[in-house]
Amino acid sequence: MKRQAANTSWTLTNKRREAIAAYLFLAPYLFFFLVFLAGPVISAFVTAFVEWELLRGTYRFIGLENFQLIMEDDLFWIALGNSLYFAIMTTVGNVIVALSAALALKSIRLGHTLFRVVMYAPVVLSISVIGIIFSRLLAPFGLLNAGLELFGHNGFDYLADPSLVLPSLSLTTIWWGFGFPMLIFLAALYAVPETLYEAARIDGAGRRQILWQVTLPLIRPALLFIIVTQFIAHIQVFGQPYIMTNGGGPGYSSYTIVLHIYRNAFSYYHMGYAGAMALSLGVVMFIFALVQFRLLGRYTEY
Amino acid sequence: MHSDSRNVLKKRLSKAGTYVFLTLLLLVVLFPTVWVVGQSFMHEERILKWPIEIIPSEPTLDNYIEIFTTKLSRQELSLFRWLFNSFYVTTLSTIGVLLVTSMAGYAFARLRFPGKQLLFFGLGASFLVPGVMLLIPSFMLMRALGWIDTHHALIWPPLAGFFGVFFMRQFFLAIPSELAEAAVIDGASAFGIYWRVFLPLSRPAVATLGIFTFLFIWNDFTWPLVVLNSDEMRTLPVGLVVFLGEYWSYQGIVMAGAVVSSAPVLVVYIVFQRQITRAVMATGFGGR
Repeated sequence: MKRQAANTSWTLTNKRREAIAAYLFLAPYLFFFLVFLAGPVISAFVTAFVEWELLRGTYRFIGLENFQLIMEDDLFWIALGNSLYFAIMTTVGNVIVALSAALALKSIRLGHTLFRVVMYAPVVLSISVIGIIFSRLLAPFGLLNAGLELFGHNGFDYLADPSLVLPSLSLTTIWWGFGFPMLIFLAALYAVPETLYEAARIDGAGRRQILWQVTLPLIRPALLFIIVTQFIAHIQVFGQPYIMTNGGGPGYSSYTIVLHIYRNAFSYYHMGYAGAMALSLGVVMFIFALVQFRLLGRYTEY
Repeated sequence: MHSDSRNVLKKRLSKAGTYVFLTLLLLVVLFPTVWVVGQSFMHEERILKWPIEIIPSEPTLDNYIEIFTTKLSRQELSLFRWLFNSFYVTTLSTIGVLLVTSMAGYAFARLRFPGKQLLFFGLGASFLVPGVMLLIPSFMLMRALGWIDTHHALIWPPLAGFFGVFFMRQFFLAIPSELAEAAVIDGASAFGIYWRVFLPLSRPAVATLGIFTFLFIWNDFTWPLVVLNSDEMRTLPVGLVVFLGEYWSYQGIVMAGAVVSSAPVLVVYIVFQRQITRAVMATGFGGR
């Protein structure tokens, strides 16, 4: 009896000591998390409801007025349309290119590493380098038009033509980033048991049938993950138009929502208004991501 | 027999098609890269001449000498300053991230404490917060701290990122507990077990996380653009865009700037491509 009591109290204090140690291990990270992540998230919600003019020094609570302003702000809706168009185009393009590349890579052995390493390489470059290179490449006398001239074509002014500018920025972004979804798809493809393919083949399924009825359903979690994360990343496009089209040109053809937020916050110092726009976009994206993870949880259970 | 040889032919053709497709894709990726490097070693007059040259016939180092010796802007700075700033900020921040997140990851993986699950998921929810939502409040925080136009603004905020915690936790979970028990018997403290047993064992994970963090901070564009405003504080990606504004008409110099700025990350990538590929495939992080 006595021995047992001593034992429990020993384990109790031991448990307590372990918990204290754990909190000590966590303390530095929690400190930074609270200051640099949790704090800003909370203040994002406050900022959206105040009129905050940095230059004039005004700061007052105005309720939903900022959101009313958004409704009347034509540029906001133009920018949102551009961002949506860009995000959908880039996500679809990236998924098609990355999935084709991953399927091709999975079926070969010779040169596999070389192809894979080179195709992921652009992902590690910064947007400023990508922007600089592609502004030159897509310039009227750039590499792409020089190539077209070989075939007797006069070429295009990709970044100055209102109807070509967003597709051009999208192609640039696909070049920059398709290596990432490619690796994710490749990992998903490797996880599909080889026996399933064999079974399908024995049942007489053709290559196309196997792709649509075996491969794609089985990598659906990866597809969903990529589609949602790519869409969220690309709707926040900023560097490409900032660097390549002088902040959204020609006119407002490549003016995006984050450029609009950036300009309102850091050129005009309408912090409250910019904050309200950022919060609106942020909350929609957050819900989008949440739904995705709920769906992912459901799909991965087989 | 007949259908068999047809099948073999079909298989070979489809394999050939696969290689043709991959080679085309490879060329699309490589061609602009080769062109950029070529132009950076070319005289400006040659660049403007027709027909265009991909590989320079008379290579020159002039563009590189120019970007490293020219004084940029009024402050008598050279590209070295931005290169130094980038290395300085990235290195310090990466060390901080590794220390802070590996400690937190260790607590989540190996220690029992009340509220563990809840805390883990609460912190994990930060994954879902889109960057655009944090931009303005973080800027206001930097202003309140007096960190605008200082390197503090770039060094400290990455330490709050949850990815490192998650990543290190996964690795620590996989380490067999016998090793830790042996250390307990030897009378090691909790910190001693982490520092002398777990951290050395997880060197590959620490290296991978370090590479990811390094690339991420080195390449960041929007945040340094927002919080730094004097030329002498800038990091390379932002400095490059500002600087190239002035040199925009000299293509060779622009291209040399692009090469100098990408060389460090490409070297890191090529040396550690195996670890990077494996980590991307295992965790689903590392894209944009």
